[in-house]
Amino acid sequence: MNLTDFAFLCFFVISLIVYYLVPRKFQWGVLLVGSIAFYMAGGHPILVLYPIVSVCIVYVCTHLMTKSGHDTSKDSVGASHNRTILIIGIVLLLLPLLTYKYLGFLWKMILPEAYAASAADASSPAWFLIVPLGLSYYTFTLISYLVDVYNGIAAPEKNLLKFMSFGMYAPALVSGPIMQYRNVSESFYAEHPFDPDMIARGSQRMLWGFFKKLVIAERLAVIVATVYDDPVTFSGRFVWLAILCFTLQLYADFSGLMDIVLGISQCLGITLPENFDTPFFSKTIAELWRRWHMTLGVWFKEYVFYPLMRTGIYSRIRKSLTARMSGNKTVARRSSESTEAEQSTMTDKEAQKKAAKRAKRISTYIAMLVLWITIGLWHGADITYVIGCGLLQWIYIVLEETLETPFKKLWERLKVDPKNKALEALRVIRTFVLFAFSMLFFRASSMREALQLIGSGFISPSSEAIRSVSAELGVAGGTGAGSVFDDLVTGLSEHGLHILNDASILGITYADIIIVIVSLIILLIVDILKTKCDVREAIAARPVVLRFIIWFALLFYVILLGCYGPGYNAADFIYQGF
Amino acid sequence: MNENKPHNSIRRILPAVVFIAIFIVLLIPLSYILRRGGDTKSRFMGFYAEPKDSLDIVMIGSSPTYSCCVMPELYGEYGIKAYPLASNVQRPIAGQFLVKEAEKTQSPALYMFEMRMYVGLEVGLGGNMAYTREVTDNMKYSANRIDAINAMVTQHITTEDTDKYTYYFDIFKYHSNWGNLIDPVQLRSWRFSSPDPLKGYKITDKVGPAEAAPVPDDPVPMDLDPYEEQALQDLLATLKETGAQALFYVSPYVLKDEDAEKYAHIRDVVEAAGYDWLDMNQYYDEIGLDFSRDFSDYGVHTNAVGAQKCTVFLGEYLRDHYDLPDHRTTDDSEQASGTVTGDDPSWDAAYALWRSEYEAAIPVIDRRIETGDFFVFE
Repeated sequence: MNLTDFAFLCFFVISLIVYYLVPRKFQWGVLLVGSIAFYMAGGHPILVLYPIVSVCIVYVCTHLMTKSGHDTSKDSVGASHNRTILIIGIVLLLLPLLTYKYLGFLWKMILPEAYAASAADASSPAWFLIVPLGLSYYTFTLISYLVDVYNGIAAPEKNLLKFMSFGMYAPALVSGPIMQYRNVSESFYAEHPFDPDMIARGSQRMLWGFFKKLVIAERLAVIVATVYDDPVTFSGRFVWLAILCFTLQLYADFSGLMDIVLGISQCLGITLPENFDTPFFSKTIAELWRRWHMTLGVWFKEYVFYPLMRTGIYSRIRKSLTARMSGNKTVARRSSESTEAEQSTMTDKEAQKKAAKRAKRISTYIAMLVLWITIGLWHGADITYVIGCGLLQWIYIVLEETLETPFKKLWERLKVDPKNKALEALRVIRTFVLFAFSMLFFRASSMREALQLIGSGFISPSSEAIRSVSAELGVAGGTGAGSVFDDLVTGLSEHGLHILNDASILGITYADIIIVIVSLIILLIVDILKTKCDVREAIAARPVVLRFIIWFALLFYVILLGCYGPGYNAADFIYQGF
Repeated sequence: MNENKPHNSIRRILPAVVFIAIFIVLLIPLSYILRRGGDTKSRFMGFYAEPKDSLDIVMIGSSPTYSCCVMPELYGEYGIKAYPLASNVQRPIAGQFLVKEAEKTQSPALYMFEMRMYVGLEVGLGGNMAYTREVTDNMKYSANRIDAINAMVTQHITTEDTDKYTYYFDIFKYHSNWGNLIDPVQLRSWRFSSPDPLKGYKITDKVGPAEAAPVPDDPVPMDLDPYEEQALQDLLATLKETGAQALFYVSPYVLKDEDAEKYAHIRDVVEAAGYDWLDMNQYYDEIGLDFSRDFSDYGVHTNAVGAQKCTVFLGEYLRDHYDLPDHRTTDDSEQASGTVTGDDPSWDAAYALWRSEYEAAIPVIDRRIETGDFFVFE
């Protein structure tokens, strides 16, 4: 069951009615039953045991931790006991995640033919190809809870079933957001009175999510697939267009899904953490990642990066780097034959300070490298993910930080205000372009495909090949020049408005192209407004007639122009696979 | 504190209720407009547009129903108002629901059922859901439509396009037909009720010559496909409830022996149930059919000329066998000039329109035969 399925919407409406009909203190029970039902409707009911077992593991671990108290000071026996429980708990939680995510990868590496045969056989695929829904999302949510309880910053839930309703919360199972119990539990377990305004707001947010997914992402997906499937024909500008389209598709798809999930939760009175904050208005890659898949970033920062920085290995690396750098400087200085001892002592201290600072920065970069590779691997056991979502991001961020000072000096020398609007706009565009380039690897099925695509990007498309594909697709108005605009103009002059329903060279109709462009403009405008105000609240403050007009316009826009129903095969959400 | 006051809650819920109500009110006509245009939509809308209890006959069946019998001619020349609730490759199972649909607005003296699809196999009929949609997606929203969907949308032959919700709410299927929103013809379907100019009849000037197959004199009855047998039984049960007369008939075509044997079985069943049976394949000479000229697609459907002949035969048959009113008020001299007036001007107009189209079709048909410009299957 997909969150955009009609069956899910019916299921949600029924659940919502029951949720507000039962006594408020049992509302969590409705969530639990609903979540289990949702999970079991996913196709492989037995897989529901995975989240159930994981929740039970965490429950037992936190229960054992509570028994021995919350003292996590180093000397305490209880702390050592708790640490052991924590490690066991994390290992047990990670075990299925690692097995499912990486066993297939290993098999693919060792026995590629057997893997391909099994993957192709939809009727009886290998067991690890049927990944439990939301595996990494609930695992991360549960790990965060376990660690927070260990650190004493989250109070453990005593009621197993109640805790299960949190750990298995269906909307967030699909692709997050990754929840932190300490931030969500209050809203999650509070008694929620029936609130029509809340339900209206939640529904409005869901509708906005449907708009992004069904109107924008589904259409862009066709353009992207057309080019990615045949980069030889669709070379040059088509490649760059596809890369741009995929980045927008990914945003519309993932943020659309989050809007649906957060909207559902809002209807239930539950406030979940935001996962997107208009990321494409970021001026740096680091900022973009603070505004893109935010809960994943927070999770990795809190449960991987900071703990990594606190480890003995990290301190040793830092110390060794400091020693090596200050040692080098001293040797260098000695060789410069400095004579004044006092001056020498001062410069030694300064040099040591500088070296320590530099060592800290370098060791932080090393920790960041580990972090980004982990993030890349989280997306999938494939080098394309490691590069696209890991290494490239790390390189971008390191370059941004190291080039910050030289650029500052450059702007000063050129007497340019670094906060100049044009410059800021350029930074936004640069950030988007860099991010889009990295997403090329994310979308590619292999490194070979990614490199082939980049190569194709620098070759002009052959008119003959374009003409042949145009004929194959039955492109009306096809000029053979490979220009959608030229084809459209020619088609309009030759066939009139009927051309709009005909296929274009990009695999979708001309009408679809116009719809995508108009919808992206709407999305852009709303995102700009979002940086200034809460758009839904602003609409809610308007007179009822205007409000109705706005929401009816959006509702019918989605109903009429969304890609759904028979004849359409709405793709799964991209981040559902993680 | 105020939150708990009932009037406050009602005030907060009211906009949502109004919103949902407006949404439904807008959604229904919208989905009617978005339904795929074509002769079946036009035919069904035409049926809903007929005044209450104005029809003498409701004809139910597949494409021969509307291509073999000229409803305007039946009216203009025999004074009988008949209307086809027919669709392409109409599955027999639809029959009972279409009778119920007809009963909502009409009390016809006679139901006529074209039986050609009853000798078909369910694997072909139920295997292509487009044949189901031809019926369900051309009915107005109602409980009967839901029953029809529940009965017709099953997975016993295929799983393709069998999500029932896309039938209940056919906007799921047709939402991308937004071009209809700027098409004045389709905009008229917002109530799913709009007069059909030829009263459901579909005229064609195409020619596909055929040779008549010998019709067996006394074929041995053969069982139908179990699904079609069940559909027949259900239809008979529904008919019993209405109390109306019924004529089960077969329009002329190139008959196969197996079909003739199945018709023999159907004849036995319907006659045992107290209804009439007419196999027009037994009357090629009486009809005056010329298989080399009167068929549009090689002996399957009659063209304008063949349909005119069949209608004359049917008109005579109906006048002879049933006591049906004559809705015309025209005297004989006026009628001879090809103009008819009656109690409903739309039928007079339909007759006039048919006559002009029929007269225009005759030379085209002759020319096609002369030049060998025959029908080509797409």
